[in-house]
Amino acid sequence: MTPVNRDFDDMLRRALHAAADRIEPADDGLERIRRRLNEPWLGRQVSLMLTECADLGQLIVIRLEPAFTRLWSALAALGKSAGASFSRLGSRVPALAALGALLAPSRRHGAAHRGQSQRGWARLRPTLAWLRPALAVASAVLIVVAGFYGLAQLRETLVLTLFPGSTTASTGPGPASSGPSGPGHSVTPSAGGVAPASTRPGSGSPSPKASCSGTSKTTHSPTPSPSSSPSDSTSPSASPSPQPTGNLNPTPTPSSASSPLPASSSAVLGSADRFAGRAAGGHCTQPGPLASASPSRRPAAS
Amino acid sequence: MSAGEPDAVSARPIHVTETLVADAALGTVPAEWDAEQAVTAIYSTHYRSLVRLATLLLRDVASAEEVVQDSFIAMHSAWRRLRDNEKALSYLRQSVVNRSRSVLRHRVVVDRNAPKPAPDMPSAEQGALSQLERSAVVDALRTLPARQREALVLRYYGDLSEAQIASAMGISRGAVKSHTARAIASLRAALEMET
Repeated sequence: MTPVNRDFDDMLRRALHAAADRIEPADDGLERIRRRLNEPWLGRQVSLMLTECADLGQLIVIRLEPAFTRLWSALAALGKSAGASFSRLGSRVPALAALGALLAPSRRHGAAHRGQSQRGWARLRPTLAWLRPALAVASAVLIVVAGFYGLAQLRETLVLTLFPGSTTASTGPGPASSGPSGPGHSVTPSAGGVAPASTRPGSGSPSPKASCSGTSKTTHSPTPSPSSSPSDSTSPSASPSPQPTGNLNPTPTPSSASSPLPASSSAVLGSADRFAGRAAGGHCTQPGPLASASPSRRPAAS
Repeated sequence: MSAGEPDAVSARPIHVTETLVADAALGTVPAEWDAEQAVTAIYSTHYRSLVRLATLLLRDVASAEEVVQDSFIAMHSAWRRLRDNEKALSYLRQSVVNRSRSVLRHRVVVDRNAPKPAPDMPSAEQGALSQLERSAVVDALRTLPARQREALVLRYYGDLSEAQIASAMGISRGAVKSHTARAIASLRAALEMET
């Protein structure tokens, strides 16, 4: 990376952080999440479905507004022509005459309106022709989604009932994978094998491949549950946690000297230092996170 | 204080610059954590940065909060197969990016079909933009295509690697490279034209 590019990168990074770091989300985010989580599953799905349907309905109304206008005018013309017909028949039946008077206030333009209504329908037919397959597709999608949710729940229940000790990690995607999050939500192992923020080039830190996240969790866990080992073995994420948490791994390691949880703040502070270094100097002595993470990540991503 | 207490991380100072890279200490969460605890712990460490990321993509704080909360709910449902902070964070990033795309898509359709506002009336997008700090970079970022904007925001705000960006955007690393290069070229041209 040339110095010009590096300067541009630093400028971009500073500008984005300056713009975004002023944003403070509302404090009640967790309460709102919990409130929505505490809703019953069916109610949550129904509310999600209703929200989606409301959005869909709004879009349909917006998209079909000209068609609706033409439809109403055509219906009005049809009503007038029907009223004229009833009025003509009303010479024989008095009740039909009253109905015709209601439907067709002016009898003079009956024939003209009839022709107009036929022309209106002829105009509307190609416009509304796609509505039928669209409704069919929407119904099919609705049925498939509902069936998938139901089947996923049933499978989860069966798995948990028949194999109480197992997790669903190795049994394919659970119900949430097919939820509103979309198909792109499958967590790939490559995402797990990424160097953390504290991994800096030039610091001489070993490659995160040497971490003990996968095996140490299963072998040294004080409460070894049989469910944790298959999930680790099936997903070789090689999670780069060179300092395992204290209560998980009783084996003392040099990196576990830091307190278990405040290490998060140290990692964040590390990134803050890195950011401050970039912001103050403008000349980065250490390559960006992209360059720093690539060499050690390649084996893990494979 | 043990790592099994998710509330313990809430004491973290909030004035530091946050990134979307997983914390090393939370790399592997205790196996006994249930979904509620995981949501609480990850919320306290990453909610704010995720909302900011979504705001950069959506230019609207309220929509960004909603998107991130939806993502947390999805993560709660998927926790049984995630069970790992790194995976959960990757899942959250993907979810936020995907949902932001959906919101933008929906917004485009609504804007296209909505009646034109009066000339002196500020548009909804301008109202949303007022919540972001107006700067030349942010304005230029707004003119980029969605994928290029995502790539830039994930790289320069999220400090993510190419592999992480590819995972979050659901594209290959080569596509990430090309999106980023094109975005930087467009951004540089736009900024040079402005100056």
